[in-house]
Amino acid sequence: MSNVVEVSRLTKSYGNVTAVSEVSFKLEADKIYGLLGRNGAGKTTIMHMITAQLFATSGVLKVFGEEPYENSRVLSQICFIKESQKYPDNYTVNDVLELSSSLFPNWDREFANDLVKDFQLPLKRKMKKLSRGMHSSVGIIVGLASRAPLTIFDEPYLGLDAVARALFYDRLIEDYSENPRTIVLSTHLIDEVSRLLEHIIVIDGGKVLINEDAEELRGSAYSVAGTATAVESFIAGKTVISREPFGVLLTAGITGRLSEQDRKKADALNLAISPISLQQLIVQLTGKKTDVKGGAPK
Amino acid sequence: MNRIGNVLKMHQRDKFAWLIIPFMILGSSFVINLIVGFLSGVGIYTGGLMSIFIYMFVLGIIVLPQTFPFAISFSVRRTDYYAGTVLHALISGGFTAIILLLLSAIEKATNFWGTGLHFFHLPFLTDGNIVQQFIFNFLTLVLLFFWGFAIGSVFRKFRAIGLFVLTLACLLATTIMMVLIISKDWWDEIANWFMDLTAFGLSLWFLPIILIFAIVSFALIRRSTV
Repeated sequence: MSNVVEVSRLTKSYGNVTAVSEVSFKLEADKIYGLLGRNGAGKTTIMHMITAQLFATSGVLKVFGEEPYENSRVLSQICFIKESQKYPDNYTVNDVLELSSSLFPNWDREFANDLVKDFQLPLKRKMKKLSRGMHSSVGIIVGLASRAPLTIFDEPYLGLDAVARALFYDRLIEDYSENPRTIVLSTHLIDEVSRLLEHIIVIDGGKVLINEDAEELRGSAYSVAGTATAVESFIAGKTVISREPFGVLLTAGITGRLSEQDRKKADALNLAISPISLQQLIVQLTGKKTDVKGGAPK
Repeated sequence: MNRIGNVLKMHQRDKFAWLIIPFMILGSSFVINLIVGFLSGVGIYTGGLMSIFIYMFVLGIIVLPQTFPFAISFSVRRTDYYAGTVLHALISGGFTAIILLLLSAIEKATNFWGTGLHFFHLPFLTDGNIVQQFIFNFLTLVLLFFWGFAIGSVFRKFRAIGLFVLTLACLLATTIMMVLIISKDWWDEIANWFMDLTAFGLSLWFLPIILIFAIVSFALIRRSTV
C-alpha cells in the first residue's frame, strides 16, 4: 500500500459554515508531511476526519485503503496527538504510558522510557497537575513511542520551550530514519520544522492551496533586494508576492524558478538574491487573500 | 490484541473513580451513623446505603466526559469503548453487590454493630433469599449506572440542547401520565401493585429499563464525535 491516506472531495460543513470544502490529497507511505495553514483553516478538522473522530459531510476518505470509521485494522495503525488532548482526571503520566503500550501494537517501551528521561517527566504525577509544557511532552512521547504507521501531530507543543522542541525534532528524525512511517506535522512554527518536512500541504479557507514537494516549494520563490529602480526593472513581468520598500531600497518576493539569465541580470543590476524561507512564503500566500490567486505557484 | 480488554484496563487504572471514592462515601456515611447510634443509644434505621447507589448514577454520567474523548483519540473504536465500559460497569456492579451482601451479613452477625444501627441490613431490601438479594443489589446498581450513562451519551451527542429537550420531554411525559392516572382513578391499583411487590420483584422490572438505556446509549455513542 503506497498511499496511506487518500482523500477526495472531502467536505465538512456545520450548518451554513463550510469548514472543509472539497479537499483532495494523498499521503504516501513513509514520508514526513507538513500540514500548514492559518488558525481555522480546517487542518484540525481534516485530521479529525482522517482518524474517524469527526464525520465528513461528503467525500471519500480511505486510510490504509479502507474506511476508518469503527475499523480497528485502520485505527490501530493510527496515533493522533493533539494540542488539546484530554485525559481522565485521575490519570498519572504512568497510567497514560502504560495504557498506550496496550493500545498501540508497535509501542516501544524502552524508547518511551528514554523519552521520559529526556523530557524529565514525573511519572507518578497526575496529568491534571502537569504544567502546560509537560502535558504536551506526554503527547509527544506517546506519538513517538507508538511508532504508528500513520502518526499525526497537531500542534503538539503548546507550552514547550525551545530546548524541548529541538529535542522533539531530533528524536523524531532519529527514530524516523530507523523506523520509517508516515508522519503528519501540523504547526505554525514552520521554520522550525521546515528541515524535517518532505512534502507540504497548505490549507487555506478549507481548501488545499499548495500540495507540493518541500524541495520544489523551497526553490519556487526567492527575494531580490537592491535600489528600487533596479529591483523594479528586474521584477517586471514576474509574479511578485511581496514588496517591502525601505527608503530608496526595495525588497521583493518573487515566485518562479530563478534562471541563469535572471541571475546574470541581477548581478548586472547589483541586486542581492536570497531564498525565501518556507514560513515567509506561506505567510505571503495565505496572508493576502487577493494576491493568492496570482501568487500561487502554477 | 484484545480491544475490549484494553478499555477494561483503561477503567481499571482509574481506581479512584470506580473503587476508592464510592467506598469512601459509603464508609463515611456509615461511620457518622455509627457514631450517632453509639452516642444516642437509639436503634437507627438509616438510608445511608443509598449513597453508593446514587454514586453509581453519578459515575454513569461522568464516565463519558472523563474517558470517551481520551479513548477515541487513542484509537479505540466506539463499539469497543461501549462494550468495555458496560462490561466494566457490570463487573463493578457485581463486585459492589457482593460487598454489600457481606456487610449486611456482618451487620446481622454483630447484632447491628452492638448499637442497633440498621445500615446495610434493611427490611424490604433483605427480605428475599441471598440470591434474590444479590440480584436486587446488582440490578439496582446497574440500572442507576445505565441511567446516568444514557444521560451522558445524550449530552455527548446533542450537548446541552439535547439534555434540555430530553428534560422537557420527560416532564411532559410525567405530566401526561399523572393526568391519565388521576382522570382514570388508577391510584389504588398502582398502590396495591407496589405494595405486593418484593425488592426482588421490583428489580426484575429494572431489566427492560436497563435494556432501553443500553440501546439508546449505544446508538448515541456510535454517532458521537470528539
